[in-house]
Amino acid sequence: MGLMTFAKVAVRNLFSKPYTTNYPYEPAVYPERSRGRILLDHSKCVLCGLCSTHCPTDTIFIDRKAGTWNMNRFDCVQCGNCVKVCPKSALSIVPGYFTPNREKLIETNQIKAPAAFTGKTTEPGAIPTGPAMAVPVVSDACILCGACAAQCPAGAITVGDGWSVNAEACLGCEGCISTCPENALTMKSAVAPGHEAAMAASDKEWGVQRKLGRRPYVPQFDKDGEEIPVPACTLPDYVDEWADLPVSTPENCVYCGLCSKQCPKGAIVVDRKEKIWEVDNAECIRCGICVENCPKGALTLPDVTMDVPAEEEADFIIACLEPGYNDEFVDLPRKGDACVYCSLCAKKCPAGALTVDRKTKTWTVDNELCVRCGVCAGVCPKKCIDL
Amino acid sequence: MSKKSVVPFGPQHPVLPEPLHLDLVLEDEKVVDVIPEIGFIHRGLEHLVDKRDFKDYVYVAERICGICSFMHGMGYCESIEYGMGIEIPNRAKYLRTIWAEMSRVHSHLLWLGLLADGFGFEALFNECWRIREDVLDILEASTGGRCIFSVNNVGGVIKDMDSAMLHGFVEKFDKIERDLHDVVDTFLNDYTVKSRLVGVGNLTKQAALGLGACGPMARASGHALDMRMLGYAAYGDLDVKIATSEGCDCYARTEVRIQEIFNAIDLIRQAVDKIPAGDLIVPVKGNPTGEFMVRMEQPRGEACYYTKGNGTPYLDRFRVRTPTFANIPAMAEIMKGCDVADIPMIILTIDPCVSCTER
Amino acid sequence: MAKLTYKVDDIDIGELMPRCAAYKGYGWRLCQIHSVRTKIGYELTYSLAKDYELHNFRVTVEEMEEVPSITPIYACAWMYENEIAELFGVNIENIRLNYDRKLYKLNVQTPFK
Repeated sequence: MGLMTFAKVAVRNLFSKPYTTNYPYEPAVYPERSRGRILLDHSKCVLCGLCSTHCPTDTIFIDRKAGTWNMNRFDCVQCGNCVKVCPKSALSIVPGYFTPNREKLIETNQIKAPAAFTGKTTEPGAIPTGPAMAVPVVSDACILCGACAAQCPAGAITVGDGWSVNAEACLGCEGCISTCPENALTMKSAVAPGHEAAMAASDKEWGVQRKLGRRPYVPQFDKDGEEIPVPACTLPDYVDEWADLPVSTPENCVYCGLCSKQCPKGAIVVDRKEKIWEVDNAECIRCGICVENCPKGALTLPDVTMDVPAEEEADFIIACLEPGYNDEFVDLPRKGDACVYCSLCAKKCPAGALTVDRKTKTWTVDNELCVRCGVCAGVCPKKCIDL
Repeated sequence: MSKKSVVPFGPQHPVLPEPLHLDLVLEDEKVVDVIPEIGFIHRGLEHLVDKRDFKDYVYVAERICGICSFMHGMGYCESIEYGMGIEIPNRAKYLRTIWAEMSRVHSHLLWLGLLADGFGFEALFNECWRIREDVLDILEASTGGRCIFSVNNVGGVIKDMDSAMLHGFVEKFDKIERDLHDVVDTFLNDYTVKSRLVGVGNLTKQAALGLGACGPMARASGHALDMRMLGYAAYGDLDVKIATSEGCDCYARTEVRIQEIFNAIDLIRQAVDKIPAGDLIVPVKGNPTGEFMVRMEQPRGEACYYTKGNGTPYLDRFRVRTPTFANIPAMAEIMKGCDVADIPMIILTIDPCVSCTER
Repeated sequence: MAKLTYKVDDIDIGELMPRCAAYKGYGWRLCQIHSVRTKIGYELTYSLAKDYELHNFRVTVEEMEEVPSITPIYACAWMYENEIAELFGVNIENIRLNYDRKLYKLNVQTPFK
């Protein structure tokens, strides 16, 4: 129980300088990161509308026809989300506040002249002015997940069986680029109006690639340079169009349905009674989960990496398949030609001595770890491992 | 037996920072029954979740409350991250922990000031808020906002604190701790303060359990219950000390909160020592599906965050159960039998945050 | 240290009161109740906690189906039940300290549908 416990603090405060600043006569000091107000750089804004759709309080709204960017400053909560989503870095949030206003106003910024914004020239064949608009293009890494289409403020992207962009609707905001989980999108200068023919040709080229699947089919070669035939598949149009769908080898498949259960897109249909194994080429994203989980090693995904040119890769595969490649480890398990890189041996190896990479087609065994138990030879669905 | 009378208390009352209304049934000066009423500031923020993209809703979730704002954002993010199975980077976990503890310090200091104001000690109130101002400066320098940080995102955090900044803050917290010791002495040992707090608002250990009290309320009644022990964010790696007291009264609740300020500063030091380098945020693929509920320790107690997704960017349901929501029944119960003059003390020591209770 | 997990047991509406009574007997406290609107009615999830353990059980009810109040067991449930009755329109019977759907002073029609 104490008396006068506050006296020490009170006396100290009596003889110390005031803690507050004399504000209107001395400037207020804001830290560098302080979120004070939103500023717009007119030259960078493309009126894509991402800030407007992501604003939690709906304080920003965009009128594309009038070419204006509007903001009701009184509704703004300074969360900074618009600055974060702006693909052109046109918005920034800076320390310090606006001076008080006498009335409530909705701020209007004229970004583009009303007519200039349509994205099309008014007369056919007229030479376009200003920088050429750029549109996103897709690379082979696309898994057709649809995130870009959901993000696109103009609804210019369509993702279905393939990926397509409507160059006229595209605002060039680059919002899709940052959204893409696979970093498959890049910006490419669009063909200026008047060059639609070239555009169509280019589009056709993409179309062909898309039809082939996400990666062009690269044939595999055996050691004699003969092309390895693609394993049998229940899909009739497999060879023509869908080069890298998972395929089932009917002789090994027991129709257990595990692949169907594991498939994240529900693309595989298995009927045990009718002995049907089918993959839906529209749904399949070639993730390879079914291949990894198949207990019988009946599935393969003819996967090829695009980094290595086809010829070099073929050489590499031939080198791996060459008899005597592993000669220095004579007593180690060796792999035969029939290997499908299913990695079942690596999973079952009690010593963890095996490494299998389906993508690079490598199968390696660690001499120091291997205990020569022969489990790998027993589990190999292709019976291609011998000790 | 004297006549019973009903005295309305609040929603506007000099001692109340929050709109809480009580109908006090009095017998002379003794309170015999209390009917609490809330509902003056229901904003429907839970309902807003099906109109905003789940990534943008973080900023709405943060604005459920102005004091424990960071925890609301963090609770929302973590419930989605656990539900979607996203493993956030370790550095983000530590940064969240540091900011969470900083906001605990500032919330408790705010509360100490309000308590001093409640029993009429204006100079003590000013002193508490002066110290709190130092914490707010630290928060503004690191996040850009004094109370509402807007640094959380689903998948991690968006602002970093480098090593020099963190160690600078730790030095500032050393100074804050020194300043605090003088103030705390007044709260815990002063004759006048003790006469207002000791023996007032007795919540027994058994009653605290039955009434669902949580946070400092439960800890002051002898329950060592702190959700930080669940190990969300980086708390699993840190040595979390739980402040408890067996006193069960307003004084015990003050004691627990003061102890928690020092524990929080200690946790900040631990986290700054251990913080790993690395990424701040991981990209979020897909939309939330399924449901998850996390429990977190806010400055005011245990808060539950429940999210239910349906595979679209718009969640089906987001539910926050704030600590005050759980403490109001206990508050009403302990008021029965006390004097009218003690009512403000009892309301203040549950640290009511009615605006986040109603959302 | 308890793990951060979330598991829900579906129970029948008749099982609710006996369960709550049993849990209360073993010293569990009421953590929260929440409601989710579904196509045919509501899901009410009751979370009970002891120390750091959390048990959730879920009752699925149809529109206007009567739900017994657990306030006789857990007195503090009146806040949750009044809120659910007002904002969702779940028909909860015999709440002690019943606000009769006027917990929140709103100028719009409740329940929200």
